[in-house]
Amino acid sequence: MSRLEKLGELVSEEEDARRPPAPDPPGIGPFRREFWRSPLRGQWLTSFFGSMMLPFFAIAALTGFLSHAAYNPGLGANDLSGGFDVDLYFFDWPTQPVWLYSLTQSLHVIAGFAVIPILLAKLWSVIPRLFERPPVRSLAHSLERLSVLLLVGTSIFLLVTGVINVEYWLAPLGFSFLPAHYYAAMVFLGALALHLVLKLPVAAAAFRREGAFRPLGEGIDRMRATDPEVDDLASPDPHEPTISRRGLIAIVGGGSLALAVMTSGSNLLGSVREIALLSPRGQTGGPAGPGDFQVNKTAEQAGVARAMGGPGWRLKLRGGSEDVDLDRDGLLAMQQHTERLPIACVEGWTTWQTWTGVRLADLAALAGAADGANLLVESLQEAGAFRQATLAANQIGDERSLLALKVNGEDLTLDHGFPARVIVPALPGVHNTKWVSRMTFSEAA
Amino acid sequence: MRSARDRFTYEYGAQPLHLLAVVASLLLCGYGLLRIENLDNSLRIVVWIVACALFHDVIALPLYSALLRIARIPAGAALKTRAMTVHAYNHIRVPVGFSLVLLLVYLPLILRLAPDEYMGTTGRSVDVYLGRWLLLSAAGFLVSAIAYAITLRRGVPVPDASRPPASSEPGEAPPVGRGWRIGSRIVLAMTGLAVLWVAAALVVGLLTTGFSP
Repeated sequence: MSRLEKLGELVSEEEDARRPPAPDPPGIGPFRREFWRSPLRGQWLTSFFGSMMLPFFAIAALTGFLSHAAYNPGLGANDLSGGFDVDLYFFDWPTQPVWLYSLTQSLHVIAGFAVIPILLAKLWSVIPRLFERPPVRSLAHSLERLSVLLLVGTSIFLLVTGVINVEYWLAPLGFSFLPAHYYAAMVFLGALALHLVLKLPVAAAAFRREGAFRPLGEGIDRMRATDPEVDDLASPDPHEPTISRRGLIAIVGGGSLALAVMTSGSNLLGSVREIALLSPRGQTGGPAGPGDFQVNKTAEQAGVARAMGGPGWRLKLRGGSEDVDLDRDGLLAMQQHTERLPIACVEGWTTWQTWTGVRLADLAALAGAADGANLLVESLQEAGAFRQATLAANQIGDERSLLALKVNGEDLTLDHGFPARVIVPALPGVHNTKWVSRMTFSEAA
Repeated sequence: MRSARDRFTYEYGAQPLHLLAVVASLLLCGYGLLRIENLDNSLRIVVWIVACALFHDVIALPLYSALLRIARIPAGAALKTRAMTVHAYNHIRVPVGFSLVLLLVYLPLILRLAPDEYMGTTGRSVDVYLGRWLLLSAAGFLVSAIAYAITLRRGVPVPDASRPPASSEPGEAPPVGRGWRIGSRIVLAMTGLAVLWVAAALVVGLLTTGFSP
């Protein structure tokens, strides 16, 4: 007996001889098993869709937690999750490779979009279970159903909130996206873990019974209906098939691939980006010039006017051995460095540009900051969660981290953060604070 | 002790390991829900989670279920008619499904549900998406129509009449044959293409950007 079979025996529901099966009440509509007549349904199909989804959810979960770590939630007011009181992160988010956050976060969003068609198909394949009779057989069964409610509810919740967040339609939420998405993921993972323990043996048995891949070889005229005695998802009275199981899988997989391509497109360069036809950040073109790349939050929306960064603007360096105020000419008189770095957004898009400005490390030295100090960067923007961000010592120390004054050889445009903005390798996009007004170094390491 | 375990199994409905797994899982879920409860508008979040499950099961599922069920084979039809019907239905419902999935996933952009937010955040207009969706949908229908025309011209393959129809009693599994080999090759090829595509996109991205001096 294989290990999975053994596990299956230990966690499956018991049919007890002393408790005769409940007599079937006369069902109506979908509560009759005969109501469900698709010849495609069966444990094999459900198991196959479930196995297809697993890697996507694994990638999304891992990269989701990594994204939380990338914000350095232990520093300053960086943590927007509402205070996660178990700190899982024992490392400072690295600055190498510079595309690290671009990779992890685009994978997160791609996995989330690509899993949507598969999840819909999986839920379709298993829908007769919603109407099973009797609705609750035992305490064990009722707990399982509660867990399934959490699993289905949170999986759809995660996808729906994720999608409408990257498409900027936040009005219907009425709550803060980030912590809700974060903690719903925790509920989801708890329910998913149980689902895997309970269902892996069922899936393994279905694959053993029918062959893990064999139904993929069966076209519509070769397809065999599953035995409804053995397989509780199989229809006892199936229609003639109008599509094969592999046909359905190919269509679902094709939809998933199309969404993956479209979503990953918004990380590409130049006009190739246009393959992301429907993605919120696939649009290229627009006003030509060095500032023609993706903006996250225009100056208008942030409430920043050109005059605020005018001649009266000073960069205030605080927290070091002495307070230093610099105007823009003063910054331009310092040694300038040029780096090609990405802005990678939590929404799963990336834009690479060439930035010129002053090293953060040079500013730290100028202000006489302590070794290992953190840096709080504040913006001219007066309100909003991302009007400030705290950077860790390794991020300030990286010689590619700049307070950028120019992009692609010309002054920053107002939308891109004029008079000065932070750009740090591998840092989540919104932490590259725009319209910087004040930088405060912490006292010690 | 065996009888105590039987007794537990009888009352609970499964063996003790089941209860352990359930409790461990529900505790983790409970922790997540507790954190949600501490957030602003927590009730709204919980309502949303339950509403997601209900909305899917009560509204969305009947819709896409109908799309799959819309095709019915005329009862007692000849094999040729049956094959024709299948082809006609599939060449319609596949592009319909493709178009609907895109509409579902990009609904806020296509229907311009938050035009000011979009403009304020990206500095661009959301107006392009409705047209792009219509064009993509049109392309889907066009490809399907061409495929259907080719099928008709070649002649719809009629299933082997000597073979029992698929909905008959389940029989012995056919031996692993050519179909399986071809099918698995198709799957492998598709997976390979997808991996290649992602790899190529990454390489292009890195070559043109990551290694600049």
